[in-house]
Amino acid sequence: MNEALNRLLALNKEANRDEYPKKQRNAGRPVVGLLCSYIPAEIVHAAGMLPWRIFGSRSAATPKADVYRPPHTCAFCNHVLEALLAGRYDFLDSVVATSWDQDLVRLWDVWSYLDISPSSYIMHLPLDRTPTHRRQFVKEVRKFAAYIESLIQRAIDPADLLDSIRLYNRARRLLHRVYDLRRQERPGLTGAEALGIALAFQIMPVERFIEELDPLIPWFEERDPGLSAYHPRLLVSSDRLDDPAFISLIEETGCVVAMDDLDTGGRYFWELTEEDGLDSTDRMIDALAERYHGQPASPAMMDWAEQVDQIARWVDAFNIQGVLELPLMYSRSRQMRAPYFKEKLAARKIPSISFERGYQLAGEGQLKTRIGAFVEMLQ
Amino acid sequence: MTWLEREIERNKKRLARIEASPDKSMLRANRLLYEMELDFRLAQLDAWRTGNRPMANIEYATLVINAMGFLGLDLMGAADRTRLASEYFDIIRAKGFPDTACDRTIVCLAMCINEDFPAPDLVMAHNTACHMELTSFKAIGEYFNKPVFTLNGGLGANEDTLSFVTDQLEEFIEFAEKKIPGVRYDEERMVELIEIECQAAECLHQVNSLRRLTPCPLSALDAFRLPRMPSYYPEPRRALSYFKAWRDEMLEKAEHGIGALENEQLRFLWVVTGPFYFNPFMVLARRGVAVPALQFGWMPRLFGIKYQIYGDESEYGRRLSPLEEQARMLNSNSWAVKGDVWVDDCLDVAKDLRVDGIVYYVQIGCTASAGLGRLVAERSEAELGIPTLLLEGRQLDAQFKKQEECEAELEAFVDLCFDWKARER
Repeated sequence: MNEALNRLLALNKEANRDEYPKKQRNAGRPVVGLLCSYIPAEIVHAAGMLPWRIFGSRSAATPKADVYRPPHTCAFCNHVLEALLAGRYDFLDSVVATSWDQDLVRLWDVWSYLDISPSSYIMHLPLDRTPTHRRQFVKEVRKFAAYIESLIQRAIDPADLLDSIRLYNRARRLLHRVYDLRRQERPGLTGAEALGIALAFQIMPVERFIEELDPLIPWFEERDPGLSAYHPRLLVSSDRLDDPAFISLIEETGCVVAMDDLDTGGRYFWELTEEDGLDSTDRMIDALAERYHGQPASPAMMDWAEQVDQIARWVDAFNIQGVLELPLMYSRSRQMRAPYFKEKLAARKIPSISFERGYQLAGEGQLKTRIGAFVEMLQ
Repeated sequence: MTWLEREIERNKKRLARIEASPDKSMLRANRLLYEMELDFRLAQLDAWRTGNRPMANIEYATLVINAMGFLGLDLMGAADRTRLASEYFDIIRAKGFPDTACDRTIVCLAMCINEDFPAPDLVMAHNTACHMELTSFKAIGEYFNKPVFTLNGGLGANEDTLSFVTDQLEEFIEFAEKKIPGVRYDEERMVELIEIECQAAECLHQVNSLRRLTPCPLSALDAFRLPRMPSYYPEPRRALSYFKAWRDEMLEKAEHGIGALENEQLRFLWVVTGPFYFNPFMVLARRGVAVPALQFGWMPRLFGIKYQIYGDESEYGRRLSPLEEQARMLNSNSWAVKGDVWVDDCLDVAKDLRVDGIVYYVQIGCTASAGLGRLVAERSEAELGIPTLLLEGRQLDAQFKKQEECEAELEAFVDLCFDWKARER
């Protein structure tokens, strides 16, 4: 079992991430790179293509990207562009972004301009959750489906779309079972492992993911993951955090990361798509739009109060003692929300602290010392 | 004394100076502008002190804000006018906001926190110019516990995004009427405002046509005069008289062949924004470099280059309702959409004005434009055969780049452009 878990976790190593997409492409299955958690992977999957979440290079510097992107711009985008310019995404048949924030739009602009991928698409993401914004998102998902259909030059079969919805829901239910184990006083897996599993979901075929994760769950129920401490219990909040080494570093300070608020982790799979009444493609699109737009919101969305409520619900459900926010450098949405977030958590008597991080793990010693001080305070 | 009070004093002094010794080289229209600005600031101060009139941030849904009876608060415009903002950056840092975000978007927040400028009674948080403004407006609203309405533009102008923005404007009206007593949408006022704005836009269109002339009658500072349309002001008709006066003076200069520079040898297109803590055009003027235009997100619409800002039926092939007109305008900023629109606009203007080089101000923290400078540079060289200077800097922070450094970069670029021009010959 240990070996099976390690296989899943190893997939997210920089050198291994493209293992499945390359294999699939060699077998004739086109690969669509997704730059955001708001893009419905089910539509890509139903079209017979592999949806693959794009992450960046973990190199310390980004000299190639720096030519196009000036200082003080989103570190995730810089590292993705670095990997693109190093030829790491040459296998992609298409790349899809959203307007999650303007930095991401500008990354997509450069990507399209460089004409490296055969095709590219950007989805408008309405940034509030009012009915009008939701209706607009439904239209955007329809347009996205039409784009995917233009790639395969045929309509997506409704039966295939329904299968994909069910399959992705199944994978999400498994992930919920994994995350549910983290509610226990002594979880059967570390926070780093949980994130690693959630990341694997986004970079491998969903069928294979289910096959590999399913047998691991009973084992997790009995397992001692060997953490040095199980108290205090932390929730980590960030965006585009795709390296579980960050979580390992936190847990090494003598705590357990029992829940996360990450678009690469909990936020990505939390909501299920409604499966009832899906008797037409239109209804399936509506359901997908509802699910994706309604996922636990990221700071790019303007419903800040609901975002704090969501954290508070997780704090209760997972018996969290402190919230550790790790804003990604120059990611403006979270940075501008930070004072509000801190104030509102304090008003609910939820201890929190915020340390800015780079995209790649660096300055471990300093980060560990600062997090260690927070953990000590919670103890 | 608050910043707003200091700004009032500054405008009074300007007017007194003009009164005492009119400088014949200065535009007569300036007097109207300063009078208008003074009255605007006085109205803001009065509303702030007495609470007699509700205020909302006016960038950029000026028609709707005005037609609802709000007094506009020009949050970004006020920040631009601080020129140097080190104390505000200290406040930003102390409050936990990012000090590397675009200057105007965070300085306006600090101005409100420092009680130098009033916070709006109601906030429209929107991304119709850029994402940073959206987050800044939202942060201001939440910080001061004011009602915030989120309005999103689309990624391009089309019927779909037009109706999306129009729907949101309708909701905004309902939201504002519910939240702020006494506020009411007046469609007749809206129609009147559109009519005034069309006249002002026609003036801008006429001024724009002068940019092509050599010598160029517009100075670089004229080019940098970001026109605040009449509906920004409490008395839009009065503001219109300023537009007409400015246009007339520019036309007069052009008729007499008067250029802003005595010996124009090169011309640059200045792009995005610039440092406000010193005048970067002096060094260019000394070398005979004219700057006939500032290219920014609203430029093609404000100056009627692509479409007229209001009342232009050619874009959608039909007559639009007043709210749709506002939505159409809000959807037209080339900073807020896909990057190719902005890059194309830059190249179109550069080509039209036959410039010898582009100065692309890479404004630190600008999410809209900073990541597109290289694309403009590569395409302008390939398609127009002209070089681009990517000049990194900030608007209000002299610590980031000193005046001398900035001038040295500009000088070197002027040399390069002279070389290119000589090679062409």
